Amino acid sequence: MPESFDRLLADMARSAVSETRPPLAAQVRRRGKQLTVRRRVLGSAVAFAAVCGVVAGGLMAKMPGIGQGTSVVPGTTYSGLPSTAAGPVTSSTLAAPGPLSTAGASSAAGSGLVQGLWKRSDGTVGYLIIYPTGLAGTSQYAGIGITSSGSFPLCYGRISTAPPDGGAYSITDVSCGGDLVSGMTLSYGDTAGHTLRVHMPSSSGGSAADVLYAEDQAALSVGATAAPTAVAGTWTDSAGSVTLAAGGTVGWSVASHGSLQTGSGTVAGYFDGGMVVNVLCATGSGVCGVLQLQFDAGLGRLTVIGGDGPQVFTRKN
Amino acid sequence: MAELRAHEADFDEFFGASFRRVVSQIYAMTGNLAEAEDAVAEAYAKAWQRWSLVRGYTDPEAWIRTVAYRLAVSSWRKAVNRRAAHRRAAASAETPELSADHLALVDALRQISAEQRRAIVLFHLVGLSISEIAAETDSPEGTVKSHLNRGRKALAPLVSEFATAGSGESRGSRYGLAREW
Repeated sequence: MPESFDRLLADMARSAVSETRPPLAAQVRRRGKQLTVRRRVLGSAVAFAAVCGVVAGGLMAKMPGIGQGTSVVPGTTYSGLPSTAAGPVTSSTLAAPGPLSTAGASSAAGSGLVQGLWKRSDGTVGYLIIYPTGLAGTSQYAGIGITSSGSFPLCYGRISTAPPDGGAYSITDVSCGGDLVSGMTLSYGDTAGHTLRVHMPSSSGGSAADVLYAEDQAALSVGATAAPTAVAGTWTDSAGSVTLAAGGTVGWSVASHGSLQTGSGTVAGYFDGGMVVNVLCATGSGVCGVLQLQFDAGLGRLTVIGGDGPQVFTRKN
Repeated sequence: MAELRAHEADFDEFFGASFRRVVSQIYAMTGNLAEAEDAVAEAYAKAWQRWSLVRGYTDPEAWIRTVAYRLAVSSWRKAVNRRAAHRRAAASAETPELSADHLALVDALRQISAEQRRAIVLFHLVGLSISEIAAETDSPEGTVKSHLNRGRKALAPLVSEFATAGSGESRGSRYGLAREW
């Protein structure tokens, strides 16, 4: 062998990889996103945070089944019946679902899918939100979101409000940070309907797994009056702007589907990584929807998630 | 958005500049090129997950190398689904065509323990000092010296400069030849 071990080793290593073809950086980043999605949804390593949801007018509503500018009535179940309750999402306005067994579809008939905020049951910080996508009782779909605080991507999708087949609601059109995820389902984890089970199918990122969420409206600090200082201000993107006042009011003016949509609301509560905004009806009184915002301090972005997916706003200079 | 694109560009540049080099290092440590490629690609994917943090490290490449090595030697990494995720469509040289000298070296490296091989590669190929190897492998410096000495003794029949094993440990930090490409 040659005298120089260093050079021999370097030559050998260089020869070995000379024919290799590195993957594209974009492929690697995409793989990283997949890992992130699984990690966040399954909560294996990082603290989770909150989700998304949306509604009403301007910022939302291109997802199939979602009518533009439709108003929603939070705090209802998707039973196919008109809502009788209006107002902010609170535990007092949530109707309990009927018995729903995860083992059989028959018992699901007539029961509803409860909208609201659910919190992970395993002690890690994470939320799942089910939110209306149209007039209560008129849409075949509800929105569903899973989110983590301080970082992205968020996962959002649709969930059929029809009685589940085989005990599980199919979550469709799931997008996590721009990547589509298929095969996720939602079912009640107990017959009383106090627990939700999100099923992640096996994929290249790992084997199938379930995450349990418990009903936890207390996670919302409803009644907070001041928006976090870091979020207050005007945020813009190419379509328009969102302004959050320190007092907890929110206004927006955003182009959507060729028209300018304007609206306003008030912050109804905060949860880890996000906030819930009650959207005021066009008439100026009453609550016609719920808007959810998420602030990414790391990247300095404000994200509003709606029917078109997340809309990212950056602070106006 | 512009910030995100800059973030991506920063990562892509790092990836492009270092991927082959890290693969070669992991290959030298493990003796399996396909495994090395898979593990390194996965390590970069993990780096992208936390790029805002990793990019701030003094030596992000050392982070990649450490993660890739752990992945390469961990049993779960051999799961089929992971391999499939990174297996390139085009058949790459899983068994590279090496010269007789190189094959002899690969064979010799396979004869020593994984810890010794890792220390040898980090010192002679990557160009780290004893203290840097200790930090990267999370081992006491004495243990690193021991791995180096025993590894060199085992390689001595094939590498004449190791006939006097133990020399060359005080060269301090030096980036080896691999840094040239």
